[in-house]
Amino acid sequence: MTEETVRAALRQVIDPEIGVDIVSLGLVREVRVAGGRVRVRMILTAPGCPLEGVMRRGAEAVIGRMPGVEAVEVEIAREPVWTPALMEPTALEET
Amino acid sequence: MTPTGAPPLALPAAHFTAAFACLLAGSVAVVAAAPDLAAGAFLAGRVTAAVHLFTLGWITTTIMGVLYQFLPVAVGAGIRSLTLAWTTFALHVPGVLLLVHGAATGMRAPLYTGAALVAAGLAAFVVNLAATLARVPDRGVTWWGLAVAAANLAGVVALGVALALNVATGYLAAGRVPFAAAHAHLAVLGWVMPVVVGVGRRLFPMFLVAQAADGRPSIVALAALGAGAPLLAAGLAFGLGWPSGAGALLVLTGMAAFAWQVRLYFRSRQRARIDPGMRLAAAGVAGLALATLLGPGVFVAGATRPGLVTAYGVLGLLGGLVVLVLGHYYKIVPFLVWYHRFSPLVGTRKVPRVADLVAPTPPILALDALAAGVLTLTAGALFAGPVVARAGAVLFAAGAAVATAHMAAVALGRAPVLREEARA
Repeated sequence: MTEETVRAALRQVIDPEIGVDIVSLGLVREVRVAGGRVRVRMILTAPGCPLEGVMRRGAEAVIGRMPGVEAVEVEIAREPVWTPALMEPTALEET
Repeated sequence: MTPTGAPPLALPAAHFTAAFACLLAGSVAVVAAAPDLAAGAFLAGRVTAAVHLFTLGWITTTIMGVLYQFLPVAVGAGIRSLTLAWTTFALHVPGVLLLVHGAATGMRAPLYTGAALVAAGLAAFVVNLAATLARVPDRGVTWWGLAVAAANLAGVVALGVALALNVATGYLAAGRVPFAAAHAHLAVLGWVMPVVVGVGRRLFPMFLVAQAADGRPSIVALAALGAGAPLLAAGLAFGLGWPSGAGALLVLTGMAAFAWQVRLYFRSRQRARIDPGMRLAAAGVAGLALATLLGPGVFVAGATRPGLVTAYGVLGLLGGLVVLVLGHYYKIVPFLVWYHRFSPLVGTRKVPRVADLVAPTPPILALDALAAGVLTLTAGALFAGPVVARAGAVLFAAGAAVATAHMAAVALGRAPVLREEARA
């Protein structure tokens, strides 16, 4: 299990309003892997976003199913404030 | 399960259901009032009834429900008292129905009872909203928009009560028309528009992915409307020349700045496609812009050109605010359905997007019928054509019916993607 495989797994979590996964949107700011412990720091597209709990649970669920994972911690951070500049270049092509 | 910080679903759902009932009733009332509109009788009982079904029943009830749902997103705090929110609803909805019944029939008892209930409900809402805003330390455009709106809503109610009392006493005499103009303009420009500008500062960028848009025009819009609407209303109500003129210039500035702001949101959007909700919202803003263009003519001619005044009202209310509000429903209802149906499944299996819950054809049909209806009704009002006006009203009602049926289908889980989910 590496940072890359965790990021790949997090692509299964979609922002339902925009219709794009949270990695492509640039919401996943940091992934740390230490043994079986995974820590993710992510932001939301808007302050007070009503999907905060959904995004957190979704990220925890997909990481929790990865082989070798013993503990998952997902932190929702306030900074940096999300802007479209954080997205991957082709993220919104299909929206 | 509710979105973070949001109230139980029953509260916004009750408001949205009541609002759609009023949209349908208002649309039928416009069909009945079409001859009055063609005759320029904009203060006739049937017209007053229809207007209040839209302003109080559709727009204000929607604003209440939307704010209860989205205050945590908009200002970072949920509504202060759920009990007071339900009390407001229990006063407001029967009050609107009684007031409208009284206005349409000329019966004083339901008119006064309705006006009293609505006034009490709106007072409770203002107190609840003010108590919520007082707890919010971050006071940006959205906060100020809601604060200005709440303050002006109190003035709208006072002018409305004064007009209701005039039905029995006639004490306003020739002042009835300017008082009604003051009431209507303070309602639209002082109450509804600051909410639209303030909440739009959050919702438009979120829905369009336009967070990079320059937000300064919304500050100009809010400042100009916040100062101009009360000034214009006071000038109109009391026949004061310079406050009317200064207020009119300010609200024109505010509406132009708002239109410019919405243009910036759309031009800065990152999304390739404009979804049905945002298409309706854009059409609503276009309706407001057309009404604003007629504004100076209405201000100069006043009641001497009743056809122009009626056309101005039809474009601004039906073509502008009613359609703008409907556009936001196309974002809010599918989101709430998605949230309650699919959010527990995120991360466990593939789930549809919110947009997958909205079939593309009904909103196109609705928008076409609403736009054609408004333009035809406007032509009927401008050129005194009762048949044309009624045809426009029927088209408008058809559009409202299509949109209502579609939203009901989405809310009741009958969207195609939900039927497939149910079969699976």
